[in-house]
Amino acid sequence: MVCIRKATIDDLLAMQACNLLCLPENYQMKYYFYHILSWPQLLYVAEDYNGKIVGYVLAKMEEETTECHGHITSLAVVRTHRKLGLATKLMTAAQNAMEQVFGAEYVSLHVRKSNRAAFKLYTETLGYKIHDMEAKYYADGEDAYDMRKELKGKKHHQHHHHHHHHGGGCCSGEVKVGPKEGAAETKAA
Amino acid sequence: MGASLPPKEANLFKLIVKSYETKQYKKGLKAADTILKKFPNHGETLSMKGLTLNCMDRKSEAYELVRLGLKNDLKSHVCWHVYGLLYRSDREYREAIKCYRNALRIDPDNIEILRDLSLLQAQMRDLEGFVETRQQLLTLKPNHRMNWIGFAVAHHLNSKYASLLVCGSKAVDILEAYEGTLDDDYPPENERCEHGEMLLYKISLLEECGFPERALEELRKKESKMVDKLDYKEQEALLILKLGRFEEGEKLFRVLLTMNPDNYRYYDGLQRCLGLYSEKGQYTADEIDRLENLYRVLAHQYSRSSAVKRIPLDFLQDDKFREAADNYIRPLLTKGVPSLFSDLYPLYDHPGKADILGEIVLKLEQSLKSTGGYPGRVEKEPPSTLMWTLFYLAQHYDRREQYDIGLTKIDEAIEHTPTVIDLYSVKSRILKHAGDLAAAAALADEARCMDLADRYVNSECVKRMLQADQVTLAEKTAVLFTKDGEQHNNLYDMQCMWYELASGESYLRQGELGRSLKKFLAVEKHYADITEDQFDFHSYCLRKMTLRAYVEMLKFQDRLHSHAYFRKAASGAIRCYLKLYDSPLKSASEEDDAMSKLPPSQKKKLKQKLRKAEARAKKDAEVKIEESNATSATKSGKRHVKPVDPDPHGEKLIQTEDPLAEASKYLKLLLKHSPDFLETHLLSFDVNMRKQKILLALQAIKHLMRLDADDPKSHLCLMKFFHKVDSLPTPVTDSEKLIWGVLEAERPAFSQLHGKSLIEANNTFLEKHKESLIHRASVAELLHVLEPNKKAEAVKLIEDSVNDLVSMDGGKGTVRSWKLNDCITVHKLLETTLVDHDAASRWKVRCAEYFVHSTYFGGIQSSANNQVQKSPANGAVGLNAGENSSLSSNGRLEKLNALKDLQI
Repeated sequence: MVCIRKATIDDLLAMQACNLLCLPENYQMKYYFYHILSWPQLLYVAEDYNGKIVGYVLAKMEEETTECHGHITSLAVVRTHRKLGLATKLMTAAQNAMEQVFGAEYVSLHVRKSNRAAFKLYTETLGYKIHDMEAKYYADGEDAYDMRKELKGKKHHQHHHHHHHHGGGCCSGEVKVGPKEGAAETKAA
Repeated sequence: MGASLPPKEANLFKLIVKSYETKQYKKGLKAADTILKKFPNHGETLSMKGLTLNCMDRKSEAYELVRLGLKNDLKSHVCWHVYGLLYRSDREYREAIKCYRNALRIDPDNIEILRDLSLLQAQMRDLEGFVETRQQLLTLKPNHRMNWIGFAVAHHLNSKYASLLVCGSKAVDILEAYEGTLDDDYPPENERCEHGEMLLYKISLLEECGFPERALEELRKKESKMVDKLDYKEQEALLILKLGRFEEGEKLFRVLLTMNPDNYRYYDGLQRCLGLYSEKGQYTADEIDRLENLYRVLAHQYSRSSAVKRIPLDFLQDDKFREAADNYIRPLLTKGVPSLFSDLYPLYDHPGKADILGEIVLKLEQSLKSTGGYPGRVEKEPPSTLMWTLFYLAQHYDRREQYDIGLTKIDEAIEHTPTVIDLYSVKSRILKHAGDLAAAAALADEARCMDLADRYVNSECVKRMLQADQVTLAEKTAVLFTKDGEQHNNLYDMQCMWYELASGESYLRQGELGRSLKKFLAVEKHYADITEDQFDFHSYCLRKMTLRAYVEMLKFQDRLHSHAYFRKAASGAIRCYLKLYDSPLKSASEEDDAMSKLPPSQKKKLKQKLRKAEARAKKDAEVKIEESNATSATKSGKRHVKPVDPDPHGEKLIQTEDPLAEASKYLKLLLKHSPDFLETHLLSFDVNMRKQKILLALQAIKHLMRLDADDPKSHLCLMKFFHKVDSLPTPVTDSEKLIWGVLEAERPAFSQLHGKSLIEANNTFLEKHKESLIHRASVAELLHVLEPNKKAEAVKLIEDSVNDLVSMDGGKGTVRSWKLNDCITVHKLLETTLVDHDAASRWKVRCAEYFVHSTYFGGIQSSANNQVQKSPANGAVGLNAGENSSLSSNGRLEKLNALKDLQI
């Protein structure tokens, strides 16, 4: 029914369109570029039989903290394609890549307190636990659950401390992207 | 830097540079002023001060100071470098490159400037220059990893223009030379990812240059150094497939399938390895048997994968298809999978399969209704199964253009379970197809109100409202989901292009050219911004080592403007400019027109209303400016001014002196990036005929003939062109004679015109396509052009058209041949081009019978004719009488909207 595969550069515009159709948290194109050009392994799409992108997961590695971990920036499945387990499949694919490629110890995400369907998916199907609550995390003032899931964490290498040499200098343009902390938001049932 | 200054000031100068780098602009400014007090003409200080001011949004001062600094110290590479940075910040890359080059003339080995130059060269695709600069950087600093990688990537990119084999191989050599400089135990733990990516990049290069064998060898040799195991396996399988080692390949794809049995590309790979792959899905009976066996075994292995069950429906035929489809559909209806129809949709293009699918589901419906279970089964189905079955059938009949049956089915489903949102969405879609846009929007709004927290139903509703030309309502609805209610720019800031395009189209339909242009050009701007986005990644990716993704991104950027959204935006903008050219003052005069029809009292009211609205808008804009100015002084001294759009409704845009020149800008992009679309050349014809550019119009005609000579629009252009040419006066000037000569030479290339007059050619076209309504219409239109006295004949040609039954989807089903949109086009042709009002109204009456739901033709079932208020739970069609009525009888809609706002 629906193909689950790694996203390519050519999927990004469709991913952005899908995000804008489904979710209130949106990002400019550059933020999608930033993800795929940093962690090309962590973006997955769900493509239906007509070649249309009907879902995606956009994820990243947190490199500034001491513990190497992944973070789900955004996950969406269009309403018409629910009940196919797409969100689970997308999440599993991204989590596996975090663990296998980057040795992530855990994966985190934010979810709206009111989003019961997503909350249920994360806790019951995917095994996430509430780690913290962030008051007024979303632009409209809603609180977010900060949720985490432990990965097996093979620790075959530490990922986080090899970026000191990224001297920013006045003339080497840094990558500045939209939201610093991508608000994860899910609509999945 | 700052060399000519005494020690104290030299230190201050260093402080300016440091402050600039750390974005402490105020501090830098102070230091600069201290130096300038003593040395008011010091060039480098003046330049740096300018550069600092540039970051504080004081553009004109910045340019003044930087130029003055340069004038005072033409021999300083700093001054040139700063000038380049200033241009760069304004995206004037060509000018910036010139400045850097001047700086390098003075200081040829300046690494920083070389690096900056290389970024601009990558951005501008000056790839030869890029290679050169990268070589210099490597020569100067061979101990930097980035310089090796940069040099290799430069060679690779340049291969698009020079030879792939030479440049690609060179890139490989460089990477291997770099590897040669590494210790045996490289990489350390923390650089394994980057190193693995570098190796995979090298392997992809080898493959691209045509050395799959070497690529595979290298891949396997370095296996232990690759961190991305999934990618390793994918690359391995693809290389083996490319090498034709099918037995090995089969095993590898089977391994991949165990990792992800939902990736269709793995099934493709497996089929290719087994010699069972066909691009067009055409197989012999024997192949179908083998495929069937293959998927039977796979289905057993991957019972949870939906792919193994769905793929066979593509290749199975007749009874086997019937059986497999039946088995496929049943559990999905029981489960209530809403996307079932869209999943099977592609099968409707396979001859005969649509009929079978319809028969299967009708049978299920019958059985569910009579026994409560599927045929041949004792178990009862849950009640929802019948609802999803009706849901499927509604979409089935919609696809087959039997809208009445479709609507009956969906109404039955809604009656069965009135709480399922999807039902209303589908009903809305059917109504849209049937031609009742207002009712479709009302239904979509009803669906939206059933789940106000779901943006998807909101988006669908907005789309329908825009299709029904309810733009204001649509905007209000869309804004419910953009973060700050007061900030209407959010849709623009977030590059919400589907919305802007739909809105632009609606405004264009309504003749609001300014607002329409505004939306289309917004999309164009997004594309320019996306092009710009790549800049920061030229250096970022070399550090991150995500080289494969980086090169893919550059290729993507090179074809960015061929994307459908851009094409729609450019074509919309061109159509706006054409309208503007054809009737420059139309929008104003139309307004007057509309107003003159009103009685004086209402006229006054309307005018007052407009004036008030205008005043309010003006005041809003002023407040916004003040607000944004108030939030100025931050620590860095940078003013965070959110620029207020001085022309939010495109009123200035439509005051352009030369609409055709504006149109040509976008036409150029279409011609470059979408040369294989009919639309591109139709627009090119329209623009160039108006510009009197005969030869460019001829080019357009040639492309139209190449792409589709049988298209009625192509035919119209061809005939109109030569009609125009024939009526030109005899050439006098040299250039006219030249054009004439080209036309004479080119004319024989059009076989349609061989030995025929235009009138005869038009008749031949009619003979060839006399069954088709739109072809007849184009012939009629031309008849009127070629022989204006034969208008009656032209009208008769149209009216004699017959709405035949034709077979559908290669099966038994039939459908009327006329399409709603074509009939509307024909009506407009009769009304405005042929100007025969009687014929037009006869046409309307006739079409109203075929399209009973069409509001355009006033069909009896359409909301235009239907004043009956249905119960609100069941499609409140009466609510939705369009924007115009909401203006006059404001209350109801507005209030309702306010209510909805509250609910959110």
